[in-house]
Amino acid sequence: MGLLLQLNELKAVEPGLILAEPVLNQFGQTLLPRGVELQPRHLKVLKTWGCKTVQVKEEGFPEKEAEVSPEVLDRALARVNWRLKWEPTTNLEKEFFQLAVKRVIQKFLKP
Amino acid sequence: MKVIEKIFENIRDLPTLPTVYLALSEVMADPRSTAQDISQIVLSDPASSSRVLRLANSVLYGFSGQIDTISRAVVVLGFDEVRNLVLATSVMDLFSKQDSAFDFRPVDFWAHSIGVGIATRLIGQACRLSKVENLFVAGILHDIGKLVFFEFAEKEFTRALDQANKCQQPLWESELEILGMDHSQGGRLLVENWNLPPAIQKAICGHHAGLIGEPPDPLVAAVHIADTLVRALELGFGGDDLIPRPNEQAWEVLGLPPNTLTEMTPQILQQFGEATKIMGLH
Repeated sequence: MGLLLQLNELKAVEPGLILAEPVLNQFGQTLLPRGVELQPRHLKVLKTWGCKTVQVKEEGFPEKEAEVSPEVLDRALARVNWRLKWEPTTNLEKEFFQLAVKRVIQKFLKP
Repeated sequence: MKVIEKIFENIRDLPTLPTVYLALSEVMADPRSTAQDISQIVLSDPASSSRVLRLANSVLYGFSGQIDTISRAVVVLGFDEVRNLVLATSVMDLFSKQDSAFDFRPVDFWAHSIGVGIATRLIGQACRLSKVENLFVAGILHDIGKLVFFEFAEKEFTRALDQANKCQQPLWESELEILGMDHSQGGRLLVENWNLPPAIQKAICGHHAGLIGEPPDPLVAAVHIADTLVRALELGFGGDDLIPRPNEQAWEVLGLPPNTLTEMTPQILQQFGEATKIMGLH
C-alpha cells in the first residue's frame, strides 16, 4: 500500500519519494522495482511508457521542521550529542549528525 | 591464559561453515556445474531455500513475487549471489547462545549486522563496485568476532561490554584492553579458518579504520561507512551506543557525491524493516 500519485500532477520529483509498488509496462515487465527512490530521470522513463500513476510510500522522515516541537528537537540533540564524542565539522560529519538527529526525532514521533 | 590462546586452543570448536555453503562452493569450483546443480543443493536445506526466496523477492532485489523457484533465483541473481545469500541467512544459526550479556542481545546484534549488510550493498552499488556479491555478506559478517568472544571468552567479553558502557568507550577499545585483541581481529580468525575470500577477511579486519592496505580497498571503506551510518540510524545494537567518526579518506575512496547517504537512507530503512522480518528478528 502507499500513496497514489498521478504522474501528470508530478512536475518535479521531490527527494525521498520511494516506490511502494513496482512500475510495470503493458507487457508486465518491470520498469522500476519496488523500493526505488524516484529521481527526475525516472519521470521521463515513466512518461515514455505511458504510465499514469505510481504508488509511493507514505512514511519517511518528517520533512518540515514545523512538525517537530522545540522540546522534541532538544531531546533529540541531547541524545545524539551524548552518542557522539566528536564535533562534526566537515560536510560528511554534519550529514551523519543530521541523519542521526532526524532518526531520533522519527523514533520519538512514532506512535 | 590469554584470550587469543584460548581461541586458538579451541579453534576446532569454532562454528564451521554451513554444510550447504560448503557444498555450493565445491560444486561452483567445477566449471561444468549447471544452475540445476546449484538449485538442488540449496533445495536440500529447506530453511535456507525459503529465506533465499523471500529475500530475492523482497525490496532488497526488487523482484517482487517474480522469483518463484530457487533455479530462477540462481539464473536471475547468479551463482555467487545465491551462495552468499545462503551464507548470510544461515550464519546466525551457527552460534548457539541466545541469552544476553548486559545490553548485548544476539537478536539486536544480528539486526545491526543486517543493517550494515543492506547499507554496504546500497553504497557498493552506488559506487559501482565490482564483486557486488561480496557486499551484503561482508556487511553481515563485519562484527562476527563479537560472537567468537561471546562463545569462547564470555567472562572477558562481558567485562569489555560493561567497561564500554560505563566509560562511554568504543567496545573495540575495551576489548583491546581486556581481551588483548578486538572483535575485528577475532572475526578475522574465524573467517580465515572458514577460508572465506580475502576481500571479506579484509573488510572484517578493517571496518573500524575504513582503510587498509595500498591501494585502499573500496569494500573496506563501504563497510566502514555503512557501519557508521547504521549506528547513526540506531538499527539494531552492536554492544556500545557510540557513533564513531567517519573516516573522510574512506569516504573519498568511494567517490560518491555529497548527500548520497541522506538520499539512500529511506531505502535502507525500508529494506531493513523487510529483511529483519524475513530473518525473524522482529
